[in-house]
Amino acid sequence: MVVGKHRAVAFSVCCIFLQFVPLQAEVPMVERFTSVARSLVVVEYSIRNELGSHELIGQGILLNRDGVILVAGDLFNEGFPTAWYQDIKIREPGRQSVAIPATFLGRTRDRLFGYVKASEPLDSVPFEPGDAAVSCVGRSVFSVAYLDRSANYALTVRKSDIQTVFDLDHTVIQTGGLTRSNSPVYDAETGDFIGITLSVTHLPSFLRSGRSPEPVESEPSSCFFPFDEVKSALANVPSEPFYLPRAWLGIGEISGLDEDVRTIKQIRQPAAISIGTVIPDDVAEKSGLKGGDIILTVDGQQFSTASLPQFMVMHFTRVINSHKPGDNIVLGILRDEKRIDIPVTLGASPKLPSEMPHIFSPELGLITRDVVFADTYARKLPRETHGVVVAAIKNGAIAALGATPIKSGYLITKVNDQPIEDQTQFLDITKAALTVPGAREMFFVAIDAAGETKICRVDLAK
Amino acid sequence: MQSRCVISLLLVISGSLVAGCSSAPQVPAAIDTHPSYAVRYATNRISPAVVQLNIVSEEMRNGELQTERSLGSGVIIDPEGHILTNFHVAGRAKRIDVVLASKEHVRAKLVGSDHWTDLALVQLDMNDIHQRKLLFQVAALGRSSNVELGEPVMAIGTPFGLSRTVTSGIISNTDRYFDENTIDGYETGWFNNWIQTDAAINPGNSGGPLVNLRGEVIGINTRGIPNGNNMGFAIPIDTALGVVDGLKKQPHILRSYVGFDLEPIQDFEHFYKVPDDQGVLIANIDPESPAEIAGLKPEDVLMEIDGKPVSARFPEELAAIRKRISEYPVGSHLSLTILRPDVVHQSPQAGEETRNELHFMNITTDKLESAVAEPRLFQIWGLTVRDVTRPYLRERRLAHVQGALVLATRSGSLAERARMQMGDIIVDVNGRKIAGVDELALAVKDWEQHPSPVSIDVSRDRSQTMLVLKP
Repeated sequence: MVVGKHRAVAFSVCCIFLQFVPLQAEVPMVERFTSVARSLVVVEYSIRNELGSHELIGQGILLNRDGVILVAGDLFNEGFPTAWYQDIKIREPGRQSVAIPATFLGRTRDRLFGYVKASEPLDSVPFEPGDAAVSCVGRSVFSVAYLDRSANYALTVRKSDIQTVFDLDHTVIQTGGLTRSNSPVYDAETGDFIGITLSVTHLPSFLRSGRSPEPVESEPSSCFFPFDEVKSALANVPSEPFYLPRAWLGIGEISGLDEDVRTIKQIRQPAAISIGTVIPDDVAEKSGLKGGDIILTVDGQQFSTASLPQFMVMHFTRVINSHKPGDNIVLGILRDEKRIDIPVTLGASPKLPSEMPHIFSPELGLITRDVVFADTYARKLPRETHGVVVAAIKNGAIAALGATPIKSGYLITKVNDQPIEDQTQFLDITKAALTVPGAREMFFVAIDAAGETKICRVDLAK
Repeated sequence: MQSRCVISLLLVISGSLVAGCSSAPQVPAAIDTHPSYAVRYATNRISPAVVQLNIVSEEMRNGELQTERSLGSGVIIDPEGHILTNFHVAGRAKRIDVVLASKEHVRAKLVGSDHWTDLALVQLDMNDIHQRKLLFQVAALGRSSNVELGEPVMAIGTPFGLSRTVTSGIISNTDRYFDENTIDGYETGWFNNWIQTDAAINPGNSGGPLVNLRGEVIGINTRGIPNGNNMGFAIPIDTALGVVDGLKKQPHILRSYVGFDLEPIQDFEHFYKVPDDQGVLIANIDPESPAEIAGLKPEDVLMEIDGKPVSARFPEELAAIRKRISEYPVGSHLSLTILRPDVVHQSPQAGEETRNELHFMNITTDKLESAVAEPRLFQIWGLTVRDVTRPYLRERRLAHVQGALVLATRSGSLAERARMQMGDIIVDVNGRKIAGVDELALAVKDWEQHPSPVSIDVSRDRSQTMLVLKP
């Protein structure tokens, strides 16, 4: 392998003697190709619950000798409970008949990446990013990936040019076309590491060009996250399972103010955000923010120079997401034409539905979970509303048959005249009711997605 | 036999052709009830009273006023020229042209309408009738309470524009129940059940009569089922005449509202320990409604209203209860007798029985309002709005907000360019609070004098947004 300044000498020598010579740019590609391929693995698992299962396959990048592997955040989507990710296996191309069990460790705070850990030593070599390249429009890049099991894990590379650098809630670099999500990307000329490809769901709508937003892991990507976006994920490699909540402001809706609105309100800043509504009894409200307040600065800095309201919102979100729960920031706002600085201690994002244990009741055919903030907020109910939410219903479940069926998304507040505090109580009460000799029916009171009360009767007779 | 029938028919017809109007002819002492004669008798008796209604209405669509033409049927019910038809035929008419059975055209006007029962009352231009010496006949009105399953019936109307079409069938069901519905957003089907027939009822038949073998109107043909065959539904005449009485006095019917949704007690009677044949289950309670203020809760079983028992074991019985409550004068103080579980199970194993206790709740009824209000077009801004109604806010569980609700913006208009959307509630224009469409009209009028960029605050679901409208 020839590197550095000797490259030029070797190249010209080659030119004299050979008719078909590799172009200068291809030498680093061939080098990188073979070296980085040894750090790439295949991650397979099933999303499984009592109602069925679905297999997924994605690409992993081995990060260290402890077997920690970087995966795309979408591969372990936050929408599903972690308990449903089962039979996680690592396969190394070259010995793909061997399946090495692995466990899910967690996701980065920005949710761009996740980590899994192989339980046995791997043959693969930990990924070495090396020198980092800077992305600029016009540069040629290439990415390396493994194809699926259906292609017998053949190695593939795709080369393209940087078309656009987008400054959104993350920086996203658009190219003509690269390999699948979570592929390392390199500068074609220098061979320096430049970023990691991303999956379709991370793209804003104007970049998706009509494709469905569901992640299809094997689909080629045309965008990548540049080095600055991925360096933290590569540097802070965990060893144990972890969970990182996101910084939380407690604001319901925000919107960017376009030029006309800024002119009429005499706002000189190029970008401003108006607060649509603050969530009652949450961080923003307690800090003194109100609906209608206009946010101009964060910690004294402009958060955006965009002119389009949607971009202003992305840039503001980006600034907030760069913080951790507990961080102190100062929001410079405009209220009734007066400039006020409001200090805010960022909270932690509320629990997601997927974080709550999902329990299957086989007799009823329901998967239920505890109520979280998103449920009460969507239904416009008081935050302290207790009960369980029906996450999924088994095909043919007795709870869904009959004149007054229980439906997915129902928030159950009472069972047989007893108010439900939480999942544990729900399971106790339903179990007890089902074991009463001669029990023929059960009654549930629930609140549907629109906030309306429904009274449901379940016929238990076989 | 034959000649006697023919003579009876002639007598009936000739007896009623008087200049101007005529009242319903008497039923002859002996009607030959042989099927073919009976059908002919009945249709000949009713047909002179059935009219075609040609309607011109103005609807706001996509931020513009559009003139639409439609047609339906109707039946003349008194010598003053009142015509009974459906709300969805004539309720929003700007112009009504009636085609009498004699094929003569007469203008008519809308007297009143009630979308809750999908009925409308129209009246012929009687001056024109007298001046031109036009003839019409008044329908004989029957009773829907003694309609029998299987009874032969006829429908007369204007299906697909084919006027004076008679179809025949039987009564397929006397008490058909449908869930509450809407027509163009207007609530309907709350206070009556339906008479179902297999006499062919098609688009255009709406508003026409369903008659029995005596030629008496027993229903107003109103609905069909798309892609269904011979599935027609008529509003019972008893319901219709009750509404007509009210519409003759005022253009709309005033009703009471309490704010609870009822469910039939079938399958729940043991669990809620309700005595046989009594009670109706209260399910959903509207937020900020008289029911909520009175302290009613989901799962309460309503047993009595003002001491008189109420019960609905099956869904077919719900409409009558809703009607009963609605007929109380607005602002009535009612005493409701409620069965409510008194003791809650302490633990699943305790086996403790819940003792139901009767509670007496006092409720003051409110006015029944529609979620839909009259739309208005602001041509210069290119948007259609209407007032925000309390039912509208209740449905969406929105906090009380006053303003003008945006229905649509015209393509390319100033409102569209200002990024106004359907569902936005305009609450402020340039610092001026907008309580409703009238205030918005004033604001737009002022703006027209000096068009300039103006800030508009809108409420969008739970949040507020700022927009700018530029000339």
